[in-house]
Amino acid sequence: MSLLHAAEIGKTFGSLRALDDMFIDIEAGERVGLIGPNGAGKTTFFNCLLGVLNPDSGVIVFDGKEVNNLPVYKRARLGFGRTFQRIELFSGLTVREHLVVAERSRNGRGSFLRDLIWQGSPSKAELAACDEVVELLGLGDIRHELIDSLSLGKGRLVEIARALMVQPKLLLLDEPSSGLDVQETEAFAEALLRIQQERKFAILLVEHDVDLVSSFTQRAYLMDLGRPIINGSTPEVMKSEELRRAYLGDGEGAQQ
Amino acid sequence: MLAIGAVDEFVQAVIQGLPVGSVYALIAIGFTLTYKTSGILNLAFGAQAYVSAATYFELHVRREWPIWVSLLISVGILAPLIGVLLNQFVFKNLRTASPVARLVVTAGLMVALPEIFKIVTDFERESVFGAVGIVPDGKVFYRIFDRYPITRDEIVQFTVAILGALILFALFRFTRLGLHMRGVVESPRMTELRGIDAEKVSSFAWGLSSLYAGLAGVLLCSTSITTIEPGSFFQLVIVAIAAAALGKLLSLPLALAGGFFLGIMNTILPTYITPTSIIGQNLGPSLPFVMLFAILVFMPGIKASKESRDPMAAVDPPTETISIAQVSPWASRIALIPSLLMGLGIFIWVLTSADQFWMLLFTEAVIYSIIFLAITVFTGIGGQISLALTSFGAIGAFTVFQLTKNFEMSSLLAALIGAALGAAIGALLALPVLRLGHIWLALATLAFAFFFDAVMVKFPWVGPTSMQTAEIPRPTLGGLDFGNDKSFFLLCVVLLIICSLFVSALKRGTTGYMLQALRGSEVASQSVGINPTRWRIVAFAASSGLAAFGGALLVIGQEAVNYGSNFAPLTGLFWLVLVVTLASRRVSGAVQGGVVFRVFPDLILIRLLHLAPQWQFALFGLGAINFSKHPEGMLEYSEQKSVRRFDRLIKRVESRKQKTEVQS
Repeated sequence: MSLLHAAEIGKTFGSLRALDDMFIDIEAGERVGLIGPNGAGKTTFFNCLLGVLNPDSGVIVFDGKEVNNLPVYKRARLGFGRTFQRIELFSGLTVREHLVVAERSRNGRGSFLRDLIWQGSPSKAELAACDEVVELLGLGDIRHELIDSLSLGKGRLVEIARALMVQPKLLLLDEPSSGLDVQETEAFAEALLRIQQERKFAILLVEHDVDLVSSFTQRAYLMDLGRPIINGSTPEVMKSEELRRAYLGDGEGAQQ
Repeated sequence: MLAIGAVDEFVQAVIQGLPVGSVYALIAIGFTLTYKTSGILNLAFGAQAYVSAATYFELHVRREWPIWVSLLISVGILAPLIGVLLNQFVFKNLRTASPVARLVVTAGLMVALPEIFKIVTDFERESVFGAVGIVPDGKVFYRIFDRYPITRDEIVQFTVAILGALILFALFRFTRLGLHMRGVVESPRMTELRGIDAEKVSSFAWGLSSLYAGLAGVLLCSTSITTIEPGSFFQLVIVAIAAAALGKLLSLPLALAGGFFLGIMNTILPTYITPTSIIGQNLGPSLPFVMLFAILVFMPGIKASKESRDPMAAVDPPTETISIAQVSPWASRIALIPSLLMGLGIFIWVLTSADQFWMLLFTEAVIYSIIFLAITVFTGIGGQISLALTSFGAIGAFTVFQLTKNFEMSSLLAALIGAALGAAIGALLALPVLRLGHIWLALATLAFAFFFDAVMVKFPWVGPTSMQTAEIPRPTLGGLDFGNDKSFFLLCVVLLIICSLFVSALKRGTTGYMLQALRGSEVASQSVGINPTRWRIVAFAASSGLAAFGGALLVIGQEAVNYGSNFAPLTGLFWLVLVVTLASRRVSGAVQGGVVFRVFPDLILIRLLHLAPQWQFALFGLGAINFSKHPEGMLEYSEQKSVRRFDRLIKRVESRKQKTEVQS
């Protein structure tokens, strides 16, 4: 039984068939890429998996449980972690407070009534757990900085750190390289790989940067026009005729 | 026969409703236009309509100037001038401000403009009753198809309003300026990059929509409004917002249609409700609010409709925020000392040497601080706006009234039950309302407040009827009798301290973290497993409960309900503007707000400066304008400055110490 199994996913916007019979399977602990040219439907599919959008048809099973009708936050509690293409951070909080929020949400110990009896502040154990992840991502020096003053590259690391706090079984990354230059992307991929090997969660990387996908993932899915084209080991997909055709067209136009 | 009668009634209602509807439509398209060109939901249009109508009344009725001169001055010149000036000095700076800031500023203007006008012109020196239309003999009526009566005023109203709307559409469709205006609607920055002066275009849009607001104000004076009071014109804005909401604030034609629709509904609906029931008697004036509420809650797609924002706004550098995360904890503690000392000084003075007048005044200041903590919770921590605080205050007050009267319960216990009831009703109201975004949420709570005011209050199981004496006893607790003013003052101070501790516990606890996260990014909050609905309901219920508790204490202090002077819906707007302008993010902001609200007018304005009480509204409103520059609040801003000063001082001392240590 795979960790994430999604099949026959369809989604229509008005008259546009954005997703048609899409599927994906991800095993625990593996790194999978989802690639395709702009407008292929990657983000739509991604949002369907997470519950941001509701697919019109199909089934999504996560860790042996059907999650089709669960809202985003409930899926998050089951073990979906994510980052955003356009960075989404909590303005006004410090780096470590981002993790405190996530930790609180995960352990579910906080409530309005506990706040009322002054039991709401983060405990030592919670802060220690946050600090551990802060160090893991090399954010120790800036843990008390307000998020608003950080660079985009650091912001992406904070997003990862925040996602890690909920101890995801599957981390979904939405175009993490966008806005980063080559060096920043490399540093980011390196940090992520190190942590993934330590914590053994699975990763789904949605990217159109083919280089990042080929260096980072073990398996890849190629999609175009809302449909699955091929899937297999990353080197196979990268060498395939279909990939060339999806990105560059089928070449007929050039010959004419 | 019956069928013919029904058709007859319907046609009659349409003919009656269309003229008023056309005025609603006029102001609704002005509303939509400015919302689209600047992202500002201008609540002050009602005040602008009032100013024009009052000027017309002054010139034509009192001074008996010819109609066209009065009209030219009040609508043709004054109305657009106000719009252009407001844009130049206020709204222009708000383009990148937060939704809270934008709403607070226009709410402040709505309160301030009429008061400033009254002060400047001494308008209320004589009767403000007896408004007339813009044609002589307006009450002469004609019959359409020899059957349905329509007055000359109504015909003129309809014609002028329709002409106004047509001119706008022609302008949009056929002129260069109209094209530019459509461009600015999409993005002022982008339009500027094309070499068009966006400022000029948006200035024009403000002038034009303000002219429509003024025109609408004057036109309404001939039919539905006979007394020139700001309140009646505020209702006009509510209908206009409801009409504009039908077009999701983005479509001019739909706003137009919405105006007509609401005008007709306004005349049709009352014919279907039993006129003698409490709802029937009171629904009429509150119908706009009911409709606004219904539209917001039930119209599909309102939630999804994005707030109008300039797509280029992200290009602007963010406003500078003062980071207090880096400062030494001692600095913020030292900075608190002056205000703590002052508070202690006032406390001792009130206990030892204040006479009864000042004692009661400061007691109320303490009670208002408790009410204002509701704003700290919902707006300061939660980042949302509720304009229904007065309703919840009244819920607390009425609970105390009913329980002490019918069950002879201790009023303190009744106040606690009132708080619980307020929280429960708040949670119920939150369910349909909280899924709406910032602006919609604020409007829905506003609609609720006015509906509560117009209808709910009248039920005998809610508020005191006019026949009843609405007396409320002071509580006793064990051997203590709080009938004594001094002991009641002490009780209130203790309760304020307890409530403040609660609120700061919320702020530092899970609730504060979760709300801050939701405020920063809702999608990201969900992605770590936070349930947005749960925490927003918690915030709204806690805030409503606090307001209800404060409202209950207020009437216990006054030993009577005094609904009208304590809990009129517009007062709620005033509270919000005041607290948010001072400092809504900190507990001490609420306390300062309470003191300013209750003591400042009597002490500074009336006793020292001998000004009319109206000045306080004018001043507070103008303070709201300042808010756009310091969204953290004036007091917060000055305090953060002093925190930083102390921080620098401490660090300098520390570094000197280190140097001497190194040298030795």
